[in-house]
Amino acid sequence: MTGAEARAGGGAAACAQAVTMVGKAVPRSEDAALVAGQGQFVDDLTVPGLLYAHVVRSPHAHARIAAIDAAAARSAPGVAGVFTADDMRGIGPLPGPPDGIGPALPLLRAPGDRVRWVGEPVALVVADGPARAADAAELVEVDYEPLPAVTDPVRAAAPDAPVLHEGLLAGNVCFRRRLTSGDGGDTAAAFAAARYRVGQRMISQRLAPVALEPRGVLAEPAGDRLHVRIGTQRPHGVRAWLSQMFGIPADAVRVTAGDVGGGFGAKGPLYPDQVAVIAAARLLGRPVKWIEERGESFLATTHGRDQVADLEMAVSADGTILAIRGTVHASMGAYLTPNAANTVLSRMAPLLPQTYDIGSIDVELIGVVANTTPIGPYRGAGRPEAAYYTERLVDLVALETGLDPAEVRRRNFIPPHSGHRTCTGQHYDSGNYRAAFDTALALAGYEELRREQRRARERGQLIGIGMCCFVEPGGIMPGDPGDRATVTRDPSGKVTVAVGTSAHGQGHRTAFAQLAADALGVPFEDVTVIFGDTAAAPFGYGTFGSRSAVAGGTAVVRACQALLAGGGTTATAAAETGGVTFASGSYLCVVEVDPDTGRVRIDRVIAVDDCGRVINPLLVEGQVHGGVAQGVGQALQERVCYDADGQPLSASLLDYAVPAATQVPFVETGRVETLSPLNPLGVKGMGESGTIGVTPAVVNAVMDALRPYGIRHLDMPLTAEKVWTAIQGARQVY
Amino acid sequence: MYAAEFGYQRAGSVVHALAALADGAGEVKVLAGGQSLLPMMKLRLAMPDLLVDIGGLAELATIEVSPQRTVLGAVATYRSLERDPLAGKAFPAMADALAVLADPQVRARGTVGGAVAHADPAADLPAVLLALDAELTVARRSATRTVPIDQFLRGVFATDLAEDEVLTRITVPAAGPGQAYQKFEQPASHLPLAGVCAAVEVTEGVISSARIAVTGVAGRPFRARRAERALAGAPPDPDALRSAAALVREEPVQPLQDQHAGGQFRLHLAGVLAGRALARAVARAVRP
Amino acid sequence: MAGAREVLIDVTVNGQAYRRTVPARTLLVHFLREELRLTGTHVGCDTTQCGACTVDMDGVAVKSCTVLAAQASGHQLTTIEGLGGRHPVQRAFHEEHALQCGYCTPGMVMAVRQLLADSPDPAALTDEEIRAALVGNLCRCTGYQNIVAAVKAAGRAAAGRDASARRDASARRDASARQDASARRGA
Repeated sequence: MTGAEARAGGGAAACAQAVTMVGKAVPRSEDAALVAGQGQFVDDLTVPGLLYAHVVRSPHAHARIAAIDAAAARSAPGVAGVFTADDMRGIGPLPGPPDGIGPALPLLRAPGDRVRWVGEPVALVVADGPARAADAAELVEVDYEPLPAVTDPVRAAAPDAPVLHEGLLAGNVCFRRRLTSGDGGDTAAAFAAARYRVGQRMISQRLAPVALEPRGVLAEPAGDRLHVRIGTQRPHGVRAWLSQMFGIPADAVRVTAGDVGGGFGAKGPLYPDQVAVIAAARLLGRPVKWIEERGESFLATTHGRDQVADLEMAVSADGTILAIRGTVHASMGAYLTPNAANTVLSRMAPLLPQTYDIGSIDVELIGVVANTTPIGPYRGAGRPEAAYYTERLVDLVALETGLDPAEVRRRNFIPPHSGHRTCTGQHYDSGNYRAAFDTALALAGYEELRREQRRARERGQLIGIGMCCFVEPGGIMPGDPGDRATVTRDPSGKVTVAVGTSAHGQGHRTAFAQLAADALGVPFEDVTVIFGDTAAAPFGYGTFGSRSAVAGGTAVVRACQALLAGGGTTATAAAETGGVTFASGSYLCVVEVDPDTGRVRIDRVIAVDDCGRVINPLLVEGQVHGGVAQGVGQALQERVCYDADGQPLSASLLDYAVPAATQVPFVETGRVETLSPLNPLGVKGMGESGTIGVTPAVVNAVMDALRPYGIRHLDMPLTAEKVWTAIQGARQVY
Repeated sequence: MYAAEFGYQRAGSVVHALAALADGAGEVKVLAGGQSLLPMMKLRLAMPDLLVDIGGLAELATIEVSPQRTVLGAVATYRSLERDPLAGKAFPAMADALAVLADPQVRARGTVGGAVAHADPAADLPAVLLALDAELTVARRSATRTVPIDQFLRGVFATDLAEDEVLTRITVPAAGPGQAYQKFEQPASHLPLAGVCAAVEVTEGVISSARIAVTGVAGRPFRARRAERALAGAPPDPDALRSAAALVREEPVQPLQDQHAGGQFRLHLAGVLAGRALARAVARAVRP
Repeated sequence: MAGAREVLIDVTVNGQAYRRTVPARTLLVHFLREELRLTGTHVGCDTTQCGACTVDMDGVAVKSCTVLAAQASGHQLTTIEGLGGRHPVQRAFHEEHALQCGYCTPGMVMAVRQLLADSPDPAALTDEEIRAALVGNLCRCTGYQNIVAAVKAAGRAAAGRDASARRDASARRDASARQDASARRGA
């Protein structure tokens, strides 16, 4: 018996007595094809007569296009066409942000247009092979008149910064919103009365998602119909957007995601390069495939984070946090993708209270465009930023009050609840933050760790302990009705579940089969789950934002219930849930800093997660491991950077440090369970919790290790040079 | 991802390869393992007209370890060197470097000659070869010459190799067991931000010779001669090693700097790694 | 004498002989994927780092994105498709949940296969040894932890009968490594 079989309780035998599958560590149905190299990713597909595209991109961060000469490219060997903005006329705009607060991405460019980031698509070359398309792309001559560029969001907000777009709120500022609990008076009063005001500028640096599979699309026009194979997290979304943009009825558009090699949010939006390829295919009447190169992905695929937060906490004499106030500058990049503003306004700022019972808040949120890759969702999307700002401030509160950082947290937790409204208007569904925290500290052996630390400090060794307590909203439902699931039983008893979410590694074929097996009382092996193909799966919003267990799972369960109740062979139901769920957790990290080199070594990571009901613990643990790897990446080694002219310096894996196997720590996981009252399963979305929870824990641990030097704060990533330089500076002071 | 077009010839012999280099029209480059050249060609940073593939020439892939010296064929792969039972014992510093160089798949194709001829300022093995005073055999159609590696390496991706020449052998004089290589990685590329090879001989309780080579810090790997001179005749104790490490840090080189590390930090790392490599080398010298 | 811009490739892949003429600039990974339609080997980067393209050439794992098809002519290749789907490494990946999106998985499996073949005692590999051997294979989904577990499981399977003794040996080495870490902290 394998380890996994043992965990699964001997497997799901087909027997008269029903075996409960939910909660079991069932190995995945997805695996057989994938381990054998039989996956069907976009680049694996070919069709007769296929052409290949190559995107010509701006090499300037900011410039006006004086001329485009495609004559040489058009006559290069194997070229079927060269396309610019002139060929995109008649195609509607890409979806943009709500309220028109800023411009959406254009498709391609034409003479007279401006380009606004290095990598912006200018033209598209289509040829009979990818190498020949690349050859021909080099022959496209574009005359640029460079303009001054700005990359940092605070700099971009300054009145004298180069301006990217006309007609925004003010200069490069596209929104300036204030989030307050009242009229601001309550916060002002709290600060006036506070015994301590603890403030810090904190940067959540720009990151690149780097899914292992680059983005791509294969567009196959067929008369009035269109079949698009695309590595996307939102197939129905793509269908709706394409239908709108091209003026084709939605039922004439089929979108197939197939196997998708990771997304992390960045495969949620529809991109101008993909739309241009689809447009070219329709104009040529030929199928066209385009696959991003890795260096290209660093320019062209949306980035995450890129915020500068100036925040402070008002704290009473006993360490109670009374209020938060300040300003956050958030970069949107050069154009606004649909959710970039929401990430800040709905998923960052309102989450600042985290697990604490904070009375009031007054924060100004300033969204700014800059000459950088557009910002899109990236694992956590607002929630890691909020957790980072709050948890860093909490450790600084500990520093200023002299309390143990664990004690500050204990004094501020929201008590165990099944419904809590924050000062920012968030409704947490349930949670027991103290229980997760105690569990994490027990697993870590916290008191002994502090004793070890004292002994280590006497020897001049820099050991640090850091923690992070967080909430994670999940199960977002962007519209009503919610995602649908259709359950069909064939005469032999086999069941097919089709659902509107769209996994790209999360294991939904397994998890949803577990749900259906239990709901219908059928063997797990008899259930097949399909999604990702708009021709076969009912409507859904796709998979992002830790929503699928809630949205997809609820739809599956309701459809199964409807099937049983209706007695027919098929039933469809929509996910009706009571709203957004709030997973939570407590993470603790132990680090050692080498004072000679500044290098940080993570010795332990303890991750205690509360995601309500667990459908499959293997999958939950896997999500935590992967999220932790990305969170450690942000804390210690990942950063997108540009030079003064907006030229990217980190557009390759040689310069952008995606964590390798030697750079990710072993994670000890623990679990607390407070069911969500908002859906029949009691599940809470948790896919992003690793990324949210570990980054502040690592940073707090490093700053704790550096305590003897009196270094207050260092910005991520905490590279060896940064840490070492800070130690040198502090040594001179002492 | 797609290299520009080029012509390809597989060399049947060294003579054939040298003729192709001498006669070839346009830019001709030798292809061995391809782990340095092909990445550049895929990004179109290199666009030769003709590649002459010497990777299959068995006579250039030999590893001969003898009491006086080890002769490495330029086309011997890192992997073959790693797995050669005699070479690892003969050169512990080389074994150290091979264990942390690139990754197993790249080591399976990458060649020792390729690394030296490519002259990336941040490469691991050249530091070891430089510390051990390796001599390079370079052939052209009409003649063969030998050149010390310290003269061969000129600067960033620059060597003294002429366009019609091929590096054929690397000869490493035998050295004692007192040698070690220490590295500090750039976290994305895993190349050395600094790497130091130290080779010491300890005779009757005193360091009779010390050789220290540093890579990753300057435009080419360099020998830390001041530190070497200071160690000659010194007892192998922590104070002497610490002083030597400080001298490494103060070598008058123009350090590299980029977004990954500034020049001062690289020099500082060189000093730290020198201290560690020397300590390790000394330990191996006294207790092989 | 100019070299040929097209080359004749004679290669054996997964036991089957192929002969094709392709442009000299064709990378082995593109030859496998486009010419032979063996799409299990993936492209994940353009700087020879991610390892998704790893295949076996003459019994050694190499990155097929950094080998010309021309260089591979005359040689024997095994790709992920050649393992059959029930290879002990593939089984271990499944049992230990060592894959999520599956994109890095073929290259990772081929690299693990090499590690086990190179190890004198595959059942006694430590976490550190495994992670160092996989530094050339990036994964963005799993955080590597379950991949390490899969390597150990496959190593024990490879060791066969003495599996439990060797598992103890590996666990002892890991525990000893953790003790060393504690000792460094002065516990």
